[in-house]
Amino acid sequence: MDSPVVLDLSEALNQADGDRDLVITLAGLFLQESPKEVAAARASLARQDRDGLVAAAHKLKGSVIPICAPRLFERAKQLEELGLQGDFAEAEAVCADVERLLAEVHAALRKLIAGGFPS
Amino acid sequence: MKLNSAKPLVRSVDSQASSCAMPATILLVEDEPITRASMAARLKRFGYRVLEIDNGLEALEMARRERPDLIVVDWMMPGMDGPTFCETLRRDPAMKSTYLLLMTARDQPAQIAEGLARGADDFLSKATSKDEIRARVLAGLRTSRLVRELEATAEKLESSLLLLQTKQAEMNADLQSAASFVHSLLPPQGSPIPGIALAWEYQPSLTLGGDLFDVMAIDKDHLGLYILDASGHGVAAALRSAALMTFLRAENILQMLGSYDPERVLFEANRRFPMSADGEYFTLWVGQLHLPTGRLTYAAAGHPGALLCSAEDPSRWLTRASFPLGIDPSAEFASDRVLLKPGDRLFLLSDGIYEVPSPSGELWGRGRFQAVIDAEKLRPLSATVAACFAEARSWQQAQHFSDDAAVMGLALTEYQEEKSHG
Amino acid sequence: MTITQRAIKDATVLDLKGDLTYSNRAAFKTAVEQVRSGGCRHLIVNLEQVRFMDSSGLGLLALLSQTFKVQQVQVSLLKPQSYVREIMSLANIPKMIPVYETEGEALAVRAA
Repeated sequence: MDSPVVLDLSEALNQADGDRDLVITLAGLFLQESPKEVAAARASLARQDRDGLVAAAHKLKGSVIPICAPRLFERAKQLEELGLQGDFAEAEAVCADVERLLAEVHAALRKLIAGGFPS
Repeated sequence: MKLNSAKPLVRSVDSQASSCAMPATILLVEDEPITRASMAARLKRFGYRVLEIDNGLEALEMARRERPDLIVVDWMMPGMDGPTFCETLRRDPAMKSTYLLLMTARDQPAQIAEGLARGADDFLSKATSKDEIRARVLAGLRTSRLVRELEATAEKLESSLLLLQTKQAEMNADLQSAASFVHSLLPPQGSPIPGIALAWEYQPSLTLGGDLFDVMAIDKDHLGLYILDASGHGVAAALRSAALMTFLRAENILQMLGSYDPERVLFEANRRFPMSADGEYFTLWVGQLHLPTGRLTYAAAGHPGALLCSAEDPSRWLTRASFPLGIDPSAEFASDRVLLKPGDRLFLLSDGIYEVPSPSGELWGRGRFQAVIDAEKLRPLSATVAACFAEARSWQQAQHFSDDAAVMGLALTEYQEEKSHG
Repeated sequence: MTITQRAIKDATVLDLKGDLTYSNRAAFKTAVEQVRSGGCRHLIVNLEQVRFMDSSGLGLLALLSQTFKVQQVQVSLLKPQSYVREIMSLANIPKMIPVYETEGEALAVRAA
């Protein structure tokens, strides 16, 4: 079973009003879209593009909400705030965190899609 | 499922549709695919028809085309952001009834203020509980429906107003032609009958008035004249006046009484025109002028009536206290006599000409009217009559007379003996 | 126009304030009807605060006189202002309804 810290499945299901198919659909979408957001954040960071970083972090953060990955959400939120402050040095470290956590979430989601919901 | 985020995605409501005939339409504008999918699913679960779009520009187009009841739009979007979308949409007056819910991750007062200022109706956070989302959407739809009902009512009112205006115009046209008819009954200006000159002016307070006057040849030596005033004004008074005027026609009176003796005319009129149940009545002044001698016999029923203006003497009123017509069925109306000389002027007038108030409320009054008559006595008759109206208007500082105003001036010229003897 | 009703010894007084005109006729008629249905034997109409009267106003007084005469109720008019007095005179109203300067005088004259 997935540790609730990475992915809170029961909450995701609750938010989807019990619609398991919807959660699976959202999972697939997330797997597809989130890498683009993270890449965009990375690129913005590299060229010290504040607006670009904030936009990418904001978008990623939003997409995490229906997925219910609380630690990833917090990190993405932090990344957005650091972007707003223009603190690229700190943002660098947090972005690395986001990438790491995203990999964990991806693994959990693939498992979910392959194996379905735990009974 | 692969979703193409560049094209609009239209979903229709399925078995969860609400019981009402037409489910409300919600347009969801969100560029982030997961958020959009999640929110769309939730809104459809509530029973609404949901249209999805991922950018503000296309969303504007879709909004104008589909006229959704409510639009949920994300604040942060590339290209056109949420507030800009709201602002742009609001420029279109046809989109007034669309409720705009702005989705925001933050809820700081400054952001809220900006959102509201730029056209959002309310806010929704992406992390809000589904119950709260549902409540806000419901409230928004309720508002949207109310605004649409108001718009429909306004349209109906507008077409009712147009209809009323058309009817009013038709009625005014009718009144105008009635007024023209009444006008045609009044005596001609100038010298219609040898021995006298006439000049008059009549200003009804509404299109039709209740005052009427006339000068008629009774026989080769006699003229009959009268002025009547129906109480009240407007169409009702005009109709009553027309009835009394018909009675007072020379042919009718002669046939009934054999002469235009003012006492007898008033006596008959008093019997035939009683006060109405509503308290409406006439006042009347009747005179008979014997042209060879200039002898004027006259009697009045409650009418302040006639002003005699001679070359040497100051003007004086020819009337006495008497009941209006129809108040006392057995009333008798005593007549008086006066001798007119060539050059003398007789003015028949209604009280509407002198009972005009100044802006401070003081009435112009008979005294000031008299002063104008005296001051203007050497000018042509028509100029004198015109001066009365000009002075009255100047006193009340207004052009329009709130009560029917009539002044008829009759000047006695040299009596021409007829060549042929009858 | 405002109309207030008050009872004095042997009579009811209607104090009129404003203009007795066509537009105020309903109020006057209502007030008079109220007095009449109260079984009053003598109505005194106080004209002291009446600034203006038009032909309809005169008609109302004439109607009042006729109606109350039929029912043998006395009517008196009180203290008309000079303008109102003048137009009432021209229409011979004082011959229809007596005009007094004080309530006392009005009360002193009792209809036969």
